[in-house]
Amino acid sequence: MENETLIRSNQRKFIGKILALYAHDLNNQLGTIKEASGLMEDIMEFNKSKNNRLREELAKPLQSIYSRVGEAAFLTNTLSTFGHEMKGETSSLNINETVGVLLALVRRMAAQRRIELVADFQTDIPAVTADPVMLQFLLFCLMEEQIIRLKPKGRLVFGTARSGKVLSVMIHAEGEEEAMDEKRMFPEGMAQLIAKTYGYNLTANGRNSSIIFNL
Amino acid sequence: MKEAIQERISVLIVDDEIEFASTLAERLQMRGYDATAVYCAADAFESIKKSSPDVMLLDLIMPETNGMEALIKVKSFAPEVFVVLLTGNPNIVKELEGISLDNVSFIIKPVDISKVTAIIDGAKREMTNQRKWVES
Repeated sequence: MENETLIRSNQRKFIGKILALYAHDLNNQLGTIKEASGLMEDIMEFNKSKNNRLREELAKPLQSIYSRVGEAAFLTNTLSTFGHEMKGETSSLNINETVGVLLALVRRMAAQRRIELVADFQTDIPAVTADPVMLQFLLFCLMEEQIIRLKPKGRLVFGTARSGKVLSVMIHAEGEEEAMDEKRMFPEGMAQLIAKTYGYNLTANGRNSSIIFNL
Repeated sequence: MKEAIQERISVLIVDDEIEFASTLAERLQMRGYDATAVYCAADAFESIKKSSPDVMLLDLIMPETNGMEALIKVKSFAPEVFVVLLTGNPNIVKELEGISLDNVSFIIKPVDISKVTAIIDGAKREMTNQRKWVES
């Protein structure tokens, strides 16, 4: 069992490393695409009088490239952060950033079910000591519970708030529900198991879940 | 005209991504910078020994000698060069923000040309002010 735990912990580092490397490689590709399209624009800009019409015609597709590169860079930077978080374990972290990384990475999953993910973070909250990826895993399990229940056009609000010496991370589901006919990715009760095993103070009932950190 | 040439800022780009580095150099040249690209740290050391640039844009992750090792080496023989570290990893930037390094800045890839030129111009201004302060 000890060996298995050791292997599991290093397997996590391995996955983190692969993700970080992959994100880095993608970022380099994006960097080159952005520079190459920027150079195209420069060539036209610096020869204005000769290529005025061409410049006008290419303005829209170039803007589209810049916009998509910006979006993709945001995703690869988020993936890179997630990969680096996977390599480490417990650390002092900003809960808003940790939840924000999760929201960015799962937005495709929510969009496929037409569920809107909303961040409602209190600013200037203190850092807490936790394992960011385990916390994200716990939030993901809670989110999955809600997503498979909600009908399209529902909303999942992720909130953070500080009250005295307590910091809370909350998920609140809004919208109509439907029968859960979809296969779960994780077995039922996984969130509770994570919370129990890793000492998270979790309350989950119906549409509301919260994780409490004592400051 | 002579004044304009004297004020031309020299920039050395060091990145193993050849297309990225050469294209960025070309775009900076179009904007009036004296920009050159090299694709490994060893070539950067050679280039700096021959002619010290005002600003070096240095990729953090490169094969053989990585950006941090290259930064330390360059600062040991050419401390006057302003170094802008290029990285695709926002976590490294957070770590670097906690370390005080003289004449070192950083920028996250993919880069905005306007941000790059603003950093280069700011670096040149800072270096000129420092030189004036030392001379006075």
